[in-house]
Amino acid sequence: MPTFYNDVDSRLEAALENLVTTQKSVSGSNISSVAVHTGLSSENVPEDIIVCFAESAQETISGTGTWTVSCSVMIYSSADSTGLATHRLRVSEVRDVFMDTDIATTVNADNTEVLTAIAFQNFSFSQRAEERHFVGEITFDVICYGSES
Amino acid sequence: MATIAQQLASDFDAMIKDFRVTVTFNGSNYYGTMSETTKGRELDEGGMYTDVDAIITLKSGDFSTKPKAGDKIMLADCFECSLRYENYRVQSVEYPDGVTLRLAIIGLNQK
Repeated sequence: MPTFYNDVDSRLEAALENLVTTQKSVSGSNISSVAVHTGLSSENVPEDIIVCFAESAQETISGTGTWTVSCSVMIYSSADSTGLATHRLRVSEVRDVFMDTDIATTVNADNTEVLTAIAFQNFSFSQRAEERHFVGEITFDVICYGSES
Repeated sequence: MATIAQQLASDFDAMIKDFRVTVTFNGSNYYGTMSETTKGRELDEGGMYTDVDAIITLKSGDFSTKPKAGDKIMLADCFECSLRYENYRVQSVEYPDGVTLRLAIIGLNQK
């Protein structure tokens, strides 16, 4: 039985960041030059950024240590420097990273984060303009538990 | 006898001599003066966002293509070293007279 809580939100944030960082190195990626940060970070934010944020966690079944974590991945592209066409390509690429049928398996294969993902579900998208930036946001829930070690 | 515009330009040249800042825009340097400046770091989702507010006054006639809102400029030289060699976003451009223009600048990712 998984340990209660076990820091699932920060582990999941880091795992999501790793997924996007891996995607950056794919040949022809539209996000190769974009910084990726976790939601809670003290790093300086550059002009364009992708933020992987585990916003809240709710225990799926009481006492089991399995959590439903609400996550957002936000893609910020400068309207002045980057432009809309590139922004749309970035959003599309990041969306495809997460809307993959094998996404839970991929997260579990990440040896740097001690976390077991059971399912990614309830995907939704939104977009907005904010302070001269185009923003694309992908939200979803992850059912997971933090492993023992 | 000097026109008012000529007098303004002359006065502004004198200010630049004493309180000069150098702005790089589209690969060229321009000289002007800068207001008092506030620089902060705002914490939000994703990390620390640089928060800068300043007004730079430049000679309108120095530009063949004038800066517009959204353009990027660099402060190549100014009175505060922590502001130098950084890029900033032009938030707005004000034309107070026929001689000068005022750029309101902010950090590139300012919220």
